[in-house]
Amino acid sequence: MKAIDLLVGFNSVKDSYVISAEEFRQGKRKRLSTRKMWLIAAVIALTLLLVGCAVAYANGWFQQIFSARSETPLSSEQIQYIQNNEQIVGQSQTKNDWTVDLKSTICDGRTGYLVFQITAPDDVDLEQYLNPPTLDDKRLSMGNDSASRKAAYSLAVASIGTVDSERNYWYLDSGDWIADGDGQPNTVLFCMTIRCEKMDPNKPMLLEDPFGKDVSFRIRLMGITLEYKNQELQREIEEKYAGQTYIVDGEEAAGLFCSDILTDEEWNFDVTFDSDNQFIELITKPVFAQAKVWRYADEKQWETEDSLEEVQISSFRVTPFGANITFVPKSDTIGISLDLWQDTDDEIYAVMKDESRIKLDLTGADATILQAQTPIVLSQLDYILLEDGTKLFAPNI
Amino acid sequence: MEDQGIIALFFKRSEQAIEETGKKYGGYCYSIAYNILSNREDSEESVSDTYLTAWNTIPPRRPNFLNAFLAKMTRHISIDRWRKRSAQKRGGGEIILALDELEECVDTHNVETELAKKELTRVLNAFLSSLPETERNVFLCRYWYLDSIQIISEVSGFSQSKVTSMLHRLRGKLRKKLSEEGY
Repeated sequence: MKAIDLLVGFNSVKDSYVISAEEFRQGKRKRLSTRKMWLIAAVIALTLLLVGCAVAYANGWFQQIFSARSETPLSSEQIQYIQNNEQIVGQSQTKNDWTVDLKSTICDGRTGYLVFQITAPDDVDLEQYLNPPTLDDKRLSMGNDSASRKAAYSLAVASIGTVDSERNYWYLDSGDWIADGDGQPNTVLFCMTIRCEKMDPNKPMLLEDPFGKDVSFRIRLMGITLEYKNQELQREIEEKYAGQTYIVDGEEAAGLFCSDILTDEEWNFDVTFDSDNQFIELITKPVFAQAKVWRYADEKQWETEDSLEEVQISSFRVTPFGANITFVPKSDTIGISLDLWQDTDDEIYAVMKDESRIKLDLTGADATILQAQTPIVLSQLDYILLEDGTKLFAPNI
Repeated sequence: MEDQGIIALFFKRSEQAIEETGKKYGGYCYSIAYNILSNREDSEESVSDTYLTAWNTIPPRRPNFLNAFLAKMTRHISIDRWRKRSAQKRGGGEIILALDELEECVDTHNVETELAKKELTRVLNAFLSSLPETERNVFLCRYWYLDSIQIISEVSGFSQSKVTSMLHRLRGKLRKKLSEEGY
């Protein structure tokens, strides 16, 4: 048998394996970093605190959602930006007593947010899963990865295709579950984030306007599940390795991660964003900063090594919901990140003219995208503060 | 459009079936073809051939999962096209790397007969079913979809070295499984 026979032989494996791997490729089963888990937990906790009082829906949904992300109140400029750019939608679909209502969208040309209200049958308490005591307890998850699913493909399907290797882009989605504060336990909000990213970080993305006015999206929500860890099995593993440092191998972890299907229904929504594509470029002359740089450690490219090095930033484009970074390539590198991994208190911030700060989280497949916790009003931006202390000043606009 | 609606169009012999298939799964099929062929024109031809083959096989076939049905067809057609092309000149892309990696799993048995192919499929399914879901997905990303290590790393959240070592370990398991089954 030749290797090509084996490669061809894989063509006949079970459909369910092929579909599951495709979902994995689409990022539906992407693992959350600890930092992101804590961020989500913080968002949920803050939201619960804030929604104890009546929510002023008249102000729009995103004012509520962004307020919950920040310990400080939104500035009047931020509220103005949200009010000017939020698109109230109001598309509602009911399937088998489960209703999904696309309430509202907002987009800055690079990142799109959509807020859905999920209404379960009256006897289903969704809110109990919003603030699990630990990350191992039952929590809501959009999508159904079980074998009995009715459909299995990406959540967001742009009319121009979700993936394009030639033009070097793919659309990725993620989402946070938050309380809607209406006092009904069977209703919650799902805030979906859609971004368009480069597939190969070393090549340009040949898609100028990922969320342009002529680009419509079919947003497909497929099933809602509860994900959790089998704590009994967890205890068995811990007892087995008591007193030892251990890594749970894949086989040993089989059955550790569980999911229960709440509904296997599918809802489809057609969306066209209406963003004004504002951005400002902060790099007008060569700028260098400290960064974590990864390279292969051996010829077979099995191991990697990292070091702190000075890198040149060739572009730092800030939009209201974040920033995109481009580096001048360094020889043999497989990754560059402005997250220095030194002190967990070190973060990247947008510092505004009134000295308030907006935290920026590195995200994206190649760590070249920054996601702002709350909108950056570009006219109010003073500078971006990097972890190594470098300041990238905004031009006067 | 729902998959069952598209299949119904195929059964009605409506050319709209091709249009709807392209709208819904064109990008998906193209990404599979491109990972194998690394060439835009060849990939587009493979996707067109996929539509034509789907037209000729539905009916009588009524696939349970249209996406997997189209994906397998695209992969088969693209590997076939790659073989013909590489008979003339050795092409590049992930398929060469994947084949080099899989070389360590195989011996010199003949799998030309249909029976042998079915038996190989059984062994491969048994091997995949023995893997935890994440490892199975990583393995199939590499050897079914022919995704690069970098792409798998980005999608999985694992480092490239972890993906590489995981694949190395899984290839070892596959080699053992094939050996046990007499391959």
